[in-house]
Amino acid sequence: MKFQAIINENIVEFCVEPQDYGFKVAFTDSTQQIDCKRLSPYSYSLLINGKSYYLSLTQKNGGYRITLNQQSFTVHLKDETQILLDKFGLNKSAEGSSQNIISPIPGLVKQIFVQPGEQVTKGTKLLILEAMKMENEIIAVKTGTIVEIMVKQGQSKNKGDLLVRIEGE
Amino acid sequence: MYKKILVANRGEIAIRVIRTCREMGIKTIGVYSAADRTAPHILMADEAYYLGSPPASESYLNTERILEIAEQSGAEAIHPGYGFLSESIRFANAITNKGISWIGPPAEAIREMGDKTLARQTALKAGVPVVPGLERPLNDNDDPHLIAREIGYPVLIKAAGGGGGKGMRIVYDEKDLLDLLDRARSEAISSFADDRVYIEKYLEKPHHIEIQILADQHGNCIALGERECSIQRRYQKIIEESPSPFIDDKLRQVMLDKAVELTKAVNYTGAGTVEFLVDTHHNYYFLEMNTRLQVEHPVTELITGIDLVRQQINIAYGDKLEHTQQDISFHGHAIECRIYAEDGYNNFAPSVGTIHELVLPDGFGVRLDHGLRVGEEVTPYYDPLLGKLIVHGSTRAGAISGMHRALSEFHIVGLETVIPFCLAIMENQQFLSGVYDTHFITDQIEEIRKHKFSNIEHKRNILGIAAAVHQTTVNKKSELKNNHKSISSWKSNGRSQELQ
Repeated sequence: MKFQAIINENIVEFCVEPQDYGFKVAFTDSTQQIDCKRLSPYSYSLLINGKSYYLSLTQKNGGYRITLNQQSFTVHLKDETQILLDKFGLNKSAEGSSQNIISPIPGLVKQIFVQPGEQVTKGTKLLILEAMKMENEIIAVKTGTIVEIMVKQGQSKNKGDLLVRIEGE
Repeated sequence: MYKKILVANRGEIAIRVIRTCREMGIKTIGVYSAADRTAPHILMADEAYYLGSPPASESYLNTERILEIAEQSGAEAIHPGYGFLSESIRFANAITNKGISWIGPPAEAIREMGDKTLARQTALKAGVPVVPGLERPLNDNDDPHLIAREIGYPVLIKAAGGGGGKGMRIVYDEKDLLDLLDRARSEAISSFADDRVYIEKYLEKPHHIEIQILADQHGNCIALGERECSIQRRYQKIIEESPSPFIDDKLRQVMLDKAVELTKAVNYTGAGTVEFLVDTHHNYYFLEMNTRLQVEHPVTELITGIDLVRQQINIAYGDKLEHTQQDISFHGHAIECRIYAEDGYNNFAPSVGTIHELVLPDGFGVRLDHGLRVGEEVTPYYDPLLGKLIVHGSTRAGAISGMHRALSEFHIVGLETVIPFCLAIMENQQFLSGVYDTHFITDQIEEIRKHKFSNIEHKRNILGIAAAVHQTTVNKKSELKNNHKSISSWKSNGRSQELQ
């Protein structure tokens, strides 16, 4: 099975074949025998050329969040079908000029500084989100016009919730 | 000795207190909010009672309910831990009025030292230098501009009613003063229900060094050395160590003596901490006194061999101090890393979620105080401190290499934590040299970030393989589920739920 892994905008391509013990992994220039044991639903032990790796893995935003040696990475994996779809340009998502301000943390909307229709520039204070008793300023990342404010003062928001929509220039 | 103590707290500190109680043969009463029914402190306590819904105001700060539980369950004493009610004068008074012991200083000493402007005045009277500033909270008649100008910029706005960096703002420029005053006041009111703030001189490149104190009800008071707490983010400590690599024996002795004098001046009893700022020229200034057990107390425990919680309980019970100042000696070096549920590489953004897997560090010189359990959810309701890793070594270098090793063994899967960030600090040249001040994180953040992206090339293949192997394994399992009726549907259902 052919795979493409995207890690920090770098692409790694390889084929994985399950075997009696572990997997055979073929890169363009080399082949490796991987001894792989699943330790729990969230962690693996890999032995590659005698080297031992402990990895933990959770799902996040359509990819995998993998931690190795206390460094965490987001890995987006594409299998054969998805690689093919990409090739024919069928898998592109439309990119708009709008900026959606997403809550980076779970918290309480303490104060809102802007109104719909208002012009903002990069760095304009939009609102204050209180989490774990700390006040965090949420700012605009690009210049634009406030289209919609999806929150009210005193409201609790989860991480990832849409707070403000800004239409770009 | 007491037979039963109520622990009015949660998380790692509740467990810390319960452990000592057990060693002393004292039964413990745990309390919990709706979010904490299965939290480790509740599994560990001998008895456990429900407080209320998750927000702290309805649970761990619900004094009426805690008092009711204490009376009904026959608690003879209450240990408040740190945070929550630990510095509440009203609560300390309320429980002592009911004939229950308060494991903490007398309410009067909390008042005198807990109110920062009052504490400054007390320190001045006791001959302890303080940071130049306003000796009282700002009031409506004050012109903050005039006061700040007189002290000289940069100035620091601080909440009169609490600590922990909440309600605190640095002002470099006069034009920001009013705006930052508003911010500080509003943060102070939501953290301490008290919007009084005061202004003092902001010292540049200071060290935050604090002295651990124990005082009994018979007039004895001893100092258990210092803790260097200059590694902070948002004015909150993240790494502490003892002894401080910055001060010499002479300055240490002066600061220990001054801390004892100040403690005696307020008729303080119990465990307490006198915090000082020390500038680059080794001038020291009294900052505040924390009238409770502190988060970083294990650092002192490891180098003195003294269980501070046990001393707190003995003192509250009326016993004389077990040790004299001459008995106190320091062995080796200890470092603590606070393990916060925060992304150290993303401006310390809080992280919440379920703990899927835990691999805990252990081994020579390692102590871990934590309140973690697989399956437990970390919620946004409380402090993001998950636990503390404390390592002892015979030298500073030994403690650092032990900490480095222990951090690299520590895996909490399902949340972002500061473990990678702390690990980077253990490799940071500035930290290793021992020459650092409270601006360390701000100054070194780029250096620390670089660490995150080292050796990526080598890892990329392994990461890709892991993701692919996982996907292949999961797909194979779901194929099995579809094709073989022999697999128990309980089992496969459980497995697929685990994978979500």
